[in-house]
Amino acid sequence: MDSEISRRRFMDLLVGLGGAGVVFVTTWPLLRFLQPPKTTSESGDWIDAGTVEEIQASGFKDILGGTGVPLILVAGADGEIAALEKKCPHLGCMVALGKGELDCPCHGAKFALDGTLISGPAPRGLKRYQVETRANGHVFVGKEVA
Amino acid sequence: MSVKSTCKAWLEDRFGLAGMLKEQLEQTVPVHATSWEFCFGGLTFLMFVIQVASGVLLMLYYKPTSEAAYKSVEHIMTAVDFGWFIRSVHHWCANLFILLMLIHLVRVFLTGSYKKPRELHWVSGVFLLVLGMAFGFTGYLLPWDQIAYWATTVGTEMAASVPPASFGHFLIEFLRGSASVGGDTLTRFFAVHVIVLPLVAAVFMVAHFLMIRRTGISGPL
Repeated sequence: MDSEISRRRFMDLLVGLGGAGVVFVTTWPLLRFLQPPKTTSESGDWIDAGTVEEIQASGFKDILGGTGVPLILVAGADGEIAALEKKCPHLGCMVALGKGELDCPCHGAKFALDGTLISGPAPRGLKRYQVETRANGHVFVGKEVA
Repeated sequence: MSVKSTCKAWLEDRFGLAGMLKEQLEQTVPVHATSWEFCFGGLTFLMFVIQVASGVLLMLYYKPTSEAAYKSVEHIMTAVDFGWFIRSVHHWCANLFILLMLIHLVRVFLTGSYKKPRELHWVSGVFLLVLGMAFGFTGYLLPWDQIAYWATTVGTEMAASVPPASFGHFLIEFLRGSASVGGDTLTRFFAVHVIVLPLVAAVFMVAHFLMIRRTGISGPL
């Protein structure tokens, strides 16, 4: 029969495939490790937060800042993008994008899309982070604005 | 002649390794030694090989200065792809290295394998154990976090109690590279960890292996 395969040939195939699998699972992570991480640029701790279109399309994007703080990127009415700390300065809940403003789900604090406090129990606005749009259409987030 | 055999013949004409390789690859193992208790020496060596490979990879991103060390480790753990994996492998195999070495030592003791003519196998092995501990001690400082800093402070402090007092004082400064643990200690420990210890350990390992090849492993109980 044409479809018949010898025992030896089958074992050779099995060992070959297994070997290829082993080589793949060891070299793939190795190559990834050797590739310098893309999240930071040469100029310092700027983080690539994705493309401008992507953020403008959905209106917002959640990312982790360089120090591990959760940030929210929001596109304002004019398309201007701001990076704000997600943590409400009242009791630390995570704010979410509402109708043209950011709402805190816990005690109803409201913030404008540039982070300033509109109303509610929060003592101040949301912390702002530096934002830069680069030539490749990607938004980069830097350090906290003092 | 096929391409494979032509290449083989070409290499053989120039290096003549075939006989040597054949001898090394076709070593016979006595029947009493073909059991799991006799694996630990080889496993310890496997750990050493893994440590060298993962250590070289970590060196690509690690920065041995007091300002950058902690940040670079954080970078490896959070930003570099599979960096967490490589560092974890280095961490766990370091522990296994010591553990397997100790099990190997116990096995050699219980089977009486250290007896004549293998006394120096044992002695070189104990040197390797001390070197392994030195690997652990110097590597522990490198992440440059609180536990690393204070463990090294306490560990090097012991050297100060070596009499006479002036010698103890010399010793602790020699270890630390300064009066207290600082950036100079870090560079010193880094150099010892990645260059000095591997070279010294390699010499002892080669001696250890050549001796066991010459005498063969000890007889059955």
